[in-house]
Amino acid sequence: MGRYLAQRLVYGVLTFLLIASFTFFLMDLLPGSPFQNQEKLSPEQLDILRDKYNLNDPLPQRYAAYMVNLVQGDLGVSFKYDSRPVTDLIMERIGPSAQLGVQALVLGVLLGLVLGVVAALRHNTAVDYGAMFISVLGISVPSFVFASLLQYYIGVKWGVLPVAFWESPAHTILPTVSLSLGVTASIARFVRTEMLEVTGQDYVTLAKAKGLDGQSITWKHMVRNALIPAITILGPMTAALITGTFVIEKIFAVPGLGELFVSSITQNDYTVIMGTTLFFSAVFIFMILLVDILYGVVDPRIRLGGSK
Amino acid sequence: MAEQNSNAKAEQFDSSLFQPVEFNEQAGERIAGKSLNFWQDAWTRLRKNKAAILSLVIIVIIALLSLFGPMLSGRDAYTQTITQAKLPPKITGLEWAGFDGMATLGEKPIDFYETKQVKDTFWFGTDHLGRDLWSRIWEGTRISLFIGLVAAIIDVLVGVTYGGISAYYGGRVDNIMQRIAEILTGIPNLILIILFILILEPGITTIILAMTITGWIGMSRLVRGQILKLKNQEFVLAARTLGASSARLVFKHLIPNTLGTIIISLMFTIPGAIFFEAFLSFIGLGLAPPQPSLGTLINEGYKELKTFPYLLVIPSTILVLVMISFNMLADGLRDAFDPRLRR
Amino acid sequence: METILSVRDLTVAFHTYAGTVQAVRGVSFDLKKGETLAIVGESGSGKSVTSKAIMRLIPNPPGEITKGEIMFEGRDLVKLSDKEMQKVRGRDIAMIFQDPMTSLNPTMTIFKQIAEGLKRHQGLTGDAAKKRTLELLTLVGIPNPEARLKQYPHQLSGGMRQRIVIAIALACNPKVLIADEPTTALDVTIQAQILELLKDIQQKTGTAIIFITHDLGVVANMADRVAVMYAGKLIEKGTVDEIFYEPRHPYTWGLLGSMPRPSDDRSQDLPAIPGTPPNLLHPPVGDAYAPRNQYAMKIDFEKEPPFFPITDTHEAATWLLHPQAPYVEPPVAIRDLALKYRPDSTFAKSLLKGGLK
Repeated sequence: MGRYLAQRLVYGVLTFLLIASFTFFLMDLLPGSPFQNQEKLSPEQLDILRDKYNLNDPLPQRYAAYMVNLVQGDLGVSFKYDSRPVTDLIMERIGPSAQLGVQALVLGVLLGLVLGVVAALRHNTAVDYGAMFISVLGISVPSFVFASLLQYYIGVKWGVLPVAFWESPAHTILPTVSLSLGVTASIARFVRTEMLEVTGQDYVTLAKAKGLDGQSITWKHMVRNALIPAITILGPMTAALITGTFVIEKIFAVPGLGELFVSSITQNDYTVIMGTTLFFSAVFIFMILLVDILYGVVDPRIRLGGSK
Repeated sequence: MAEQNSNAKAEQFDSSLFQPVEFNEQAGERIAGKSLNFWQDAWTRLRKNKAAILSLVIIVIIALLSLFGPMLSGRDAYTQTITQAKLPPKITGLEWAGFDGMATLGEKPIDFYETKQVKDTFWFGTDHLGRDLWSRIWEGTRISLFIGLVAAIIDVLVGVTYGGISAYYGGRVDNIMQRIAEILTGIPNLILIILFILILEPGITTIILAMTITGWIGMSRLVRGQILKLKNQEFVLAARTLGASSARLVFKHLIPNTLGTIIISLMFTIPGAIFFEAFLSFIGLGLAPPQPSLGTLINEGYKELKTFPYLLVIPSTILVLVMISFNMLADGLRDAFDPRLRR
Repeated sequence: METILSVRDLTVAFHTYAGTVQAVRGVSFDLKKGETLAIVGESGSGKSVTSKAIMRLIPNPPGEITKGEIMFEGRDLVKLSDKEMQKVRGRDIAMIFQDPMTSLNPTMTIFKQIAEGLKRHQGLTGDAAKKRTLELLTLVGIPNPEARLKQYPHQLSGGMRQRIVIAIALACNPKVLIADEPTTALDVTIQAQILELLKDIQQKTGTAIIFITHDLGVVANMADRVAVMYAGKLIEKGTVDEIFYEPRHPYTWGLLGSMPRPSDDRSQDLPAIPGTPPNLLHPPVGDAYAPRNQYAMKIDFEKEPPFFPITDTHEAATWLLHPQAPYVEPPVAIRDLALKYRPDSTFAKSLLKGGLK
């Protein structure tokens, strides 16, 4: 188990470094310069500015500088936001995104679990079909469409909830619900499949043969075994959540990292693009590691090993 | 003694019934019930899944409309006529369903066709530049479907090859290939795609390329899993014992058994690809105007949501229909191909 | 000996997408206190379904008990609600399954899995439960029981797991134990151990056992009485001696004849029953075994034979026992068995006289 973890950790770090390098080279190839919008500059002034940001140095030198800074936590400065350190910008905006992400994840997982378990227990009845229809909708309706509609009907037309910005807990409701749709749907489908798989297992029949009642069997025998594989989808789900924040934050004007990323793209703010990309990658890699650890802990077959 | 009793109780039958019947050894060996091959069985099962069949029908209809739609209205997706901008949808005969050319501006519903003095009816209305939305939407659907299909097919080709080679040769080859794939999975997909798109010119080829960079990994993993499972099954050993060559093994035995998984995965990948395209367009990284796609149309529609919701609703509905249909079809296929569900 | 379980005309059907399968078509038998009844048959004969039906463990849908009654302690189990049935399962009637690898919950400790039943039916918790669990583990012959409590199934071997399954079944001292092919998935040496264990336990606790198997060797070892099943129906019932040495149904002859013996003449082919059992989607008219039966008569293809009594304990459902049926010569192997081991029986004597009647 320890060896397994160490291996995952090494992979994680390796992947991160790979992404960092890859990002660097990609950014280098981007057409146009960060100063594109400042047409009033003459070529000489442009050159001076480029010098200032070390943009005229040869490639290997810039790469080395980049990596060294990275290790020290320095992600450079933003071109657009008055030379503010990218790290600062990121730190400012983590709050809303983290809150949004966690809320959506928790809501989605809870709802999805209930939906999936109930659907499996009432297999092939109206409840099952209904729940599955909702989850198919959930994965088929893009979050931004759902968010737009929510915003329009609940926010604008009926004026029940705030339409945009992030000022009070009430403001977080619509974005959270929009973002959680995909999570709920994926988890519901997955849990249902796993539960159905478990239902056919011999040990469930044995549990029934012991004379246990429905509730005990469902929770102690079925759900526990069905949930373990469900942990594995939490990894890719994080990626989906991250990308979800890009559009949700745009629609609801949430001052988070997703919004920062999207706007830095349109503004060609290279350092910010690279910085946020790296940050997201780090979060993702970390989550995958966490999921792997969790899985190892929860499943006794992995935790204790030693099958005879 | 017991015999005596049974004599008394037993019915008497016609003695001819106790003639022995000539024993036909072959009769017992006859297999009752038609034997269906794998595909026939799957098709029978799929047919019973109403949702899946309905989805298939919807997909076909939408595909046909995307190809022939613009022709039906006689207009193209690009001509801009500003004087005809922002006309709500109007279909003669379907006014009661909302296709009446009216929209609410402020408090009262206004007949926009009257206001702008337009005599033609635009089935889906027009957008902010006066382009016929019907043609534009179907053109956009065609492009989105195309992107989705091509991206998914490339994913399949690359994935099947990679996974197949990895699983077939096993050992060190498999190990190395899997390590590489593992590292690649650690990279958040979308970030890679976005960065990629930033470098190259936005366009159909770019999007397809960007999506396939890491899209194939999922497929390769599935294929690898299937082939590994099959490789160790006895029928492969049996075929080998009978002298089958590697190529024959691969093509006649391993791949047909994997086709089921591949098809299902393909059906799930397509909506994913279409979604991605829509997503990219929504954040502004998709196709460049004036090229329509479901994503760009939704993006444009979003901007006018408060006043002309139909600009968002119609393309969204089509996108959602396509996604649901592919997902349901894929679900149905998966159930139809699952041998365990035979009972 | 008194009867504790009585099955009458049990009929089970499965509704599949291809049609309705008649898996069990009117099965009747009695189980007496403290005895071991073996139900023998090929795969697909319906023996497993019968055993699950007694426990009311047939999933509905797609399965359904369409007819029949199962009398136990004065009540018809078929008519009980699920809640009432839960009180019977595990406490009065227990079951063990074929595959020990999948019968235990992989994420629950051994202690918890055994204690569940104790808590549910006897209200035992804490130390009392622990004590009883250790008792049970010792009873089924598990070494070092203390250490096993906190272990998980994957840490034990197949034989040990099956012992745990038996321990779970015996936890509340059931009156009936249904063993559905409990040794099929085990190595031969372990098989022998488990069979010994079961016999031992039966002696100690007086539990009646219904033993489902397709292995005649196991039947010879374990059973007091035997019921032979084919295509969803019982076709011969008797004591173990009667079935082995005085069988009357052609199918039983086929089964016994196809058992290889060291004394067999190696130059002869091992007689196997040709053909396969019928498709129960469309149950055949008449005797289901007729197409594979070399002794078949015209009536076998038209009418189903009823049970004909042979002795107080022995009966078979074959038209060969009808007074109008002609004399037939059973296969050589059967003759040899009867003449060698039971030369004084009516059966053997009638063989010597040239034919059965």
